[in-house]
Amino acid sequence: MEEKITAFLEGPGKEITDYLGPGGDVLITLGDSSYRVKMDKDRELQVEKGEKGNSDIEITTEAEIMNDLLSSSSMEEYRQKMASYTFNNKKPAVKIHMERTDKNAARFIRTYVYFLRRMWLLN
Amino acid sequence: MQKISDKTEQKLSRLAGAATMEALRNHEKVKISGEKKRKILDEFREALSPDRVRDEPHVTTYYRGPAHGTPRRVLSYVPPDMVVYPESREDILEIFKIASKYKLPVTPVGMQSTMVGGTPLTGGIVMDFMGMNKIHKIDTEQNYVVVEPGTTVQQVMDIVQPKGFAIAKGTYPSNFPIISTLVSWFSQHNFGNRMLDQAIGLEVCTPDGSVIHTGSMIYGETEHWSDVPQSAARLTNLFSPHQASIGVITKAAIRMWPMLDKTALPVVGFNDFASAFRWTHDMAKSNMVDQTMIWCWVHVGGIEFQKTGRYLDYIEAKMKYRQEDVPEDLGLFNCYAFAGMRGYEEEIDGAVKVAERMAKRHGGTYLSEEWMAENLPNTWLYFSALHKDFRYDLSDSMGLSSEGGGFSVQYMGDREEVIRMYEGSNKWFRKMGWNNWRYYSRMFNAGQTPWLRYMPNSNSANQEEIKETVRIAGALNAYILENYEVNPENAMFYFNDPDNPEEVRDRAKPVRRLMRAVQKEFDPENILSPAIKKYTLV
Repeated sequence: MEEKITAFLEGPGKEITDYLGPGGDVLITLGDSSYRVKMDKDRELQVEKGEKGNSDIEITTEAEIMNDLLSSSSMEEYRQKMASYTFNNKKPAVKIHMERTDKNAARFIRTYVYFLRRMWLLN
Repeated sequence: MQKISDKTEQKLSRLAGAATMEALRNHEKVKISGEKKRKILDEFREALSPDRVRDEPHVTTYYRGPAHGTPRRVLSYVPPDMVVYPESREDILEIFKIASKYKLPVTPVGMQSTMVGGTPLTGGIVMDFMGMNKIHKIDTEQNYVVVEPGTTVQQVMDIVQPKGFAIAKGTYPSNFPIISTLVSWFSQHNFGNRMLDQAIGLEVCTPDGSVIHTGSMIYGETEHWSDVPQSAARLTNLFSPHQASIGVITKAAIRMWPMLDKTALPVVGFNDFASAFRWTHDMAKSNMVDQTMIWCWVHVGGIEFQKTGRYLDYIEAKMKYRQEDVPEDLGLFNCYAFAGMRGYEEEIDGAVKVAERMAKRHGGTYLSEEWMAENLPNTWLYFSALHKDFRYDLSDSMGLSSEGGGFSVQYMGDREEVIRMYEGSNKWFRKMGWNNWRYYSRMFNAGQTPWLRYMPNSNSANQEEIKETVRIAGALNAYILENYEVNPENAMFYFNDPDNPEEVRDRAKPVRRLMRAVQKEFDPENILSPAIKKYTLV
């Protein structure tokens, strides 16, 4: 799955990656497995096995849905699939684990808002 | 997700008016050669004065086109060749004379944007009105103020508010010219219930050199301006909203509203849009009410939580809840409806009781001012500043766009049809990928014209994304117009479009003839905002 996430975020989903701010730390949870997507300060993307609860935000969905989304060959295809999941009430759930402070709100806006918009999870 | 065919997309985009804006962007820009330009500049300098005629790039690029809406602003932007600054009616007539001689397009502008006329820039001459900002008269007995086109909202507020009056300013910045929000773009003020009442009379200059007076001013300068011209037609509405395509307003009598004894803003929480919409409609029928609106939970949440520790809860809820849900995590109703009112004490006390009775009838929960102040303090601050205390200086700094860019489409029609449209378009939005979006409603003219505006967030970081946004807005318009008996706002833009449905074209033909005849008579060289006329009337 790590390879699949990386391939998508560096390939057809590159524009999603472009909007993940430096220091971005996202957990993708599929059933019992979690994968951590990090953007370091030099804007290098890292995808690795992760543990539940150790990231700023967590995207949770079924493996089948994530596999389908990641197999998109373009952003247009990805968006159509996400719209279909939204329409059918199967949109991946997003939890924000950051402490509720003004500072974190500002960091969230800088780091995640446009990333989540590009993923069509937030609009 | 709905896939749009090329043909449908083209048709729909045009109906949205957005394609018209793109067409305007491609409108042939006026070419003025160096020598000719110098000659024209010299003539203007002689007619006005050298310091009031400018063509330096750092000046011309300052004029950014329509201020309203990202797609329009970006797609229709063309800087002018020169900017002139009139200070009097005579200056304007001189400018028209020279511009007509050289057949140069003229675009009237206030505050660097074309909000005064809502007209896109297509090069040529910009006529900046901000130097014409005299207040000619304030009548506190008959409740009106006579202003020049560059007079700002703030200027008028500073004078009328201490005297116990409000003006129907709306949410645009207070440094905008007052006639931009009340006359030229009149739907954008916060007295929706009295939308058409704001302009009493106008003085208008046209490119052929005519000076037209409307209202009682048609009979000559008297002490009192009135919108009842007795034997003449009510011509004020010919120029408002005029989109600056017929003439430019050089003087306007604007209504100011006495605060009287008391103001009130009853707020009612609803868990469905339809009930809220019916409540605002019933309330709008009361003479006490200046404005009724509904704000969805997305909108209220944005205002309430944007600068608090709960902002992240709000964002989480936005990703979780749908438009028609009750966002329990945030403790919000699905939507909030309110009615802003002024009056004598007994009237207001009675009207608030009516609001409570109507809330019960429509299944809403009446929320007292104390409840609002305690439970939704930021929302209440915004609502009450704008609609109860008329503290427009506060409302300026508490804008609606905290959640970033998006697009805006609005419709009006029969109350139940608008409700049906809302429910149907929810499904459409979801098919397009939106979980929820911002909207607010109004009831124009005592409930006669129910109105709803959608403002979904969208990405608009570059030209491609803006085009995509325009495409989506067009598709939404198409869906709505094909399925519901409602009218889009700005329908004037579509009159002259060959791709419009035949029925629309046929019905518009006599109106176009009438307006074209007026325009040809008063603007024979077609210099005033010609680009907009090309796609509307001429």
